[in-house]
Amino acid sequence: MSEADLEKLTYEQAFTELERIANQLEEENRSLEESLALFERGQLLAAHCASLLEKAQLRIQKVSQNSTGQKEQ
Amino acid sequence: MLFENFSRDRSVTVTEFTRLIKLTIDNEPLLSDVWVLGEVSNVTRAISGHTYFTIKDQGASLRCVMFKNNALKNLNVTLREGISLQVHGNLGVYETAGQYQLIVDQLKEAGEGELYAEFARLKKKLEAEGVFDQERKRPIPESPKRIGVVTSETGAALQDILNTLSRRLPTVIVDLAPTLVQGADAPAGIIKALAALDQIPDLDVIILARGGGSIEDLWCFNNELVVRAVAGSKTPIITGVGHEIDFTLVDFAADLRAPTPTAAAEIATPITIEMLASQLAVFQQEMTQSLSMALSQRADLLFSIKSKLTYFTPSKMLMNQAQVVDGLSQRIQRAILGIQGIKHSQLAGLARRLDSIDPKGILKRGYAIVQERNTHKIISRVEPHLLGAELDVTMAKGKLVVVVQNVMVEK
Repeated sequence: MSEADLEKLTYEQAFTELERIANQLEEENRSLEESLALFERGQLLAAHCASLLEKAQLRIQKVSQNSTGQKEQ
Repeated sequence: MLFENFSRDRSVTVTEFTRLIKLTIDNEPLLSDVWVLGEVSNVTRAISGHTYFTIKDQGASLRCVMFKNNALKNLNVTLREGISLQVHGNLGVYETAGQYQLIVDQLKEAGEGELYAEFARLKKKLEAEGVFDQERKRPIPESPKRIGVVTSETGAALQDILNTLSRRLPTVIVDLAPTLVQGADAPAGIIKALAALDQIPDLDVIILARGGGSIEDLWCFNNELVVRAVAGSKTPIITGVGHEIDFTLVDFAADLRAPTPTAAAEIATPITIEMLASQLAVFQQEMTQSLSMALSQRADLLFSIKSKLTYFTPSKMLMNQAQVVDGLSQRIQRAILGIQGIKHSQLAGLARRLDSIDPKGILKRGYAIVQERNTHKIISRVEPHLLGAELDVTMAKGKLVVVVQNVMVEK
């Protein structure tokens, strides 16, 4: 996955993948090449997550309520 | 008698005039036994035990005093700022200050009794229906992504909530459904706002909130339809209505009741951005650890393989081979020595056997070889014709030449 794709990940997506990679890295009998690739990807994900946290700002959107208040499709 | 002093020609004293006012007021029966309804303010409790306060509405205010003996009789009603009260008494004039004031002898909470009775009735009814059942309550999501907020757009509660969310978890999206939270139109507004938010499929939780106020102000949160709307919401609801001490029926119907709007926002975000950041740091550390462990495992493996390689290096192998050769040659030597030993002893045995076969050996043991002197024929048995014959008798170390004088043949 390229870095551009990484940038598009939401915090949850990136964090879920990071969690999986951290678990995978703990498993033994994984080739060194694979471990290094996982580690590298994990570092990128962690950095992405951290920057999302840093940049986070509360988003407030007003919900439109129609006259009946019954449906909001 | 008092009126005698009044004349158009001369002034009356302030005292005289004030006394006239007082008499006029005192003699008016309507002013001596009256219930007045208003909001309490400026409560002062004097050291004397008397209580001074003002009751007011939008148009006017009225000074009140409750003397010590009456204050003691009315301890069941708490005089506090902002509450609505009905006060009973008679109007009096405080001449020194030129003030009129209601001399209060009785207090009654304004309509609160009726409201409370309605609250209790509705609570009992909804309770019996199971609307407040604990099993109906859902857990509040740990890390919400979208939080709905139902409150007044202009109220302090909204600011408290937004500040709290922004401080604790600025990653969330807030869906604000503004509504009136006070007055006759509030219940319909709240129900509509809840319904609008409940349409959002990925909304994690809804905060229903309002700042503090009188029981009347909060009354819409006791509305039966509002309570049912809260209970029927698909999305979990946290209420934060009024202050810590205020309980409304929506609190019982909600999945969780928070004491204040701020507390509701806190409960809605159990995991804060700091926790997320430290969780992230933990994962990073774990990954680094895992990798360095994998690397050191491989380094160990490499080391052990390397030492094996050193063991099997050609020079080492040569040395080993030399040793093997040494060993073999030693074995061969030993084997050869062994064979020689055997051969030696075999030889000795043969020699001994040969010795025993050698007639000379027999001669040493006392045997003799007998031959005819002329023919050298071996005489191995006694025969009669040997009488008078010349014989060579070979023995150890030489021979005898004998003549046979007698022959004795064994029968």
